[in-house]
Amino acid sequence: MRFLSIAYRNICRNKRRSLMTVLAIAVSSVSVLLFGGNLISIIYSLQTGYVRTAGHIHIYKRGYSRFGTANPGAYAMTDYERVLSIVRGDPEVKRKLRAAMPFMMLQGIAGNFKANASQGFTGIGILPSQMTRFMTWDQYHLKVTKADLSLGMGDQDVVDGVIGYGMAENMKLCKELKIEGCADDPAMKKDNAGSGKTVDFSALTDEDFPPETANANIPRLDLLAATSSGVPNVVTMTVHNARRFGSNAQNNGLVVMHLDMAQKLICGRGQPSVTGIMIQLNRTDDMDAVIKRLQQLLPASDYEVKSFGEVSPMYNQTIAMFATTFGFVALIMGVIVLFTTINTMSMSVMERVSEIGTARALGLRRSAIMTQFVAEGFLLGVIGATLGTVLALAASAVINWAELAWTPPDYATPVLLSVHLFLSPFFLPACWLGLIAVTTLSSFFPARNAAHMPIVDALRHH
Amino acid sequence: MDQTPYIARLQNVAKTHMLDNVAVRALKDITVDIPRGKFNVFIGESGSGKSTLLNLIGCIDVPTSGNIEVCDQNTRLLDDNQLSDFRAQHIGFIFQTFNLMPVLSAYENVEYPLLLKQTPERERKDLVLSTLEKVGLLDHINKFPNELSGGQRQRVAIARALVKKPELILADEPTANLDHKNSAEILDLMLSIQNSEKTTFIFSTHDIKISHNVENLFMIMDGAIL
Repeated sequence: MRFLSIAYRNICRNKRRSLMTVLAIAVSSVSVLLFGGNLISIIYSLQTGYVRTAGHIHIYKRGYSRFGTANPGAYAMTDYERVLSIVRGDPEVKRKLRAAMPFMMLQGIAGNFKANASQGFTGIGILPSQMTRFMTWDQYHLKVTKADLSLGMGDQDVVDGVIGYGMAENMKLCKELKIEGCADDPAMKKDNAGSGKTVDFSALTDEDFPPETANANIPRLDLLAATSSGVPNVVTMTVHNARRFGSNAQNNGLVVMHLDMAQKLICGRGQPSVTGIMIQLNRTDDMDAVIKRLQQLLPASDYEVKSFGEVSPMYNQTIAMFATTFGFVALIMGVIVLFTTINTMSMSVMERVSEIGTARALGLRRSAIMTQFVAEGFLLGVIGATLGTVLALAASAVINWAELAWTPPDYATPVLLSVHLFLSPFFLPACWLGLIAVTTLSSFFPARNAAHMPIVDALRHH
Repeated sequence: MDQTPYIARLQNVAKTHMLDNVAVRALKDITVDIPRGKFNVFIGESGSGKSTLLNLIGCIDVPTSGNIEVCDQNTRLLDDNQLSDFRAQHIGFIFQTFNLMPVLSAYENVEYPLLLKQTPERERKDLVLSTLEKVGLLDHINKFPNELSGGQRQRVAIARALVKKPELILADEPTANLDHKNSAEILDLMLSIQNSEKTTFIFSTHDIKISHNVENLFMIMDGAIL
């Protein structure tokens, strides 16, 4: 304590210089914390987005992830009810399970033949009630976007689906869906009206999903896809509503539909199957343990269990990119702090050469001289890093309160610009300790010089 | 072990140092025994080698050749840490420019050597206050060096040298930066302390007037004792 008290007094001797050093450390601390806090926010928002739409874990039939996209019929899961009951029935998994749902991925062509419009689409068949539960996952209590996340569909809406705003515009459903800021393309209408360019495949629809209902004003799309046996099939989907999906690609071409409809489209009258099962856990931290348990429960020869990071490699790649960027910025800030502190401590040593000589003459060991100067560097670090942390906390509170929004590349919806300093429990302490370590380390070299001065030369210095 | 009658014994001690690549012989083959419990004065002109000699005796410099025994300890046998501990235990310093720690109060400056000796707090406090009383500075214990006059600063320095009750106090021209009145007071103070405490003083000065008051006088000129 005596060392720290003397160190504090020495720091206060040249207040302006010490203040500038503390400010340099504080500014570095604020920069690293705000940048890192924002990246953490983005990473956890990204995770929340993935987990809300696709869950933590996917179970597929063995080989699907490698060959299933090209040959979905061969890797469709027909015993999904049994697998679901295994998942839901295991006590260890059950404790950590939030929701589980079969899903079906498909691709095809959507047409609105009243308006002579058609386009390719990517579809996903889900159970609306389960999907709604998936969409409310919020382990980190994040406010990712101001947009309404609910699909608005219920399990009873077996012929319904939800499309993106972009697709609604392409399909000329803006007026019928009463979408604000959406306009049907007049040029497209002029080109296509009565031109016969668009082939009407609505006549191919199955009687269970009739193309015409009592109310002809209800917006509908005819969906054409190849069944698992390769035969073309068509269903008519009532467009329940349109919403802004995350990415532009989804916004322009994703169709979320009831699983029954997706199965009808892909399986026809054959045995119902699904692409896989998506599982959402209460906590992401449990993911590895649950994957391990599921791998024990489900024979490896028949099933593959994948984390969302494996299913969507972009998630891990994005995190790696952010980590590299953050590391680079932190390194630059660290170097600035390092040289600022070395400069300050070297000046301090130069100004106190005579004192160093006196202290050594009185019997202070070299190590004690070193400790004295290192203590000053440490104290500068503690003051600067603490000030920076307080400023960063205040700045993050203002930024989060302001609810500033921005649209990331290839996103259709704006996301909130936020800074979360406590989401990763080690981030704030690590930055604080890291800066203190840098200042302590940088004071080591001037301190070593001070400790090794010849006493007589030091005493002669004035 | 019985103490020898000498506080310091120098045998054929020489010191050469480099000044702008030129070897300067500061001390030339000095052999001298300095008696214990006396007020010893080395008198000589500037550059005669007084300070170098005191630095060698104070173990803050090493001789180029020769042997030095201080407080019955051959200083050549000690490493840097042992020398630091030896100085902390046995030697007090009084400098020409006072050399007080500017961030410490008068009390703390005097307390400083006791911290190095790891003296218990209670004992430390008693020692500091009684020593400051001896030098007449009890009313100024909380003042910092820049709030004290030159004479007062040197009194603090004397108290700092004295507080740990060393066997030897080295005073290198302690009156050189003081006016005549303060010089006389400081010298009287040191003489009275030496008389009462029987501490050995080695005092260097270029002022011939000081030689009238002391019993052990060594003349030094051009690095040699006359």
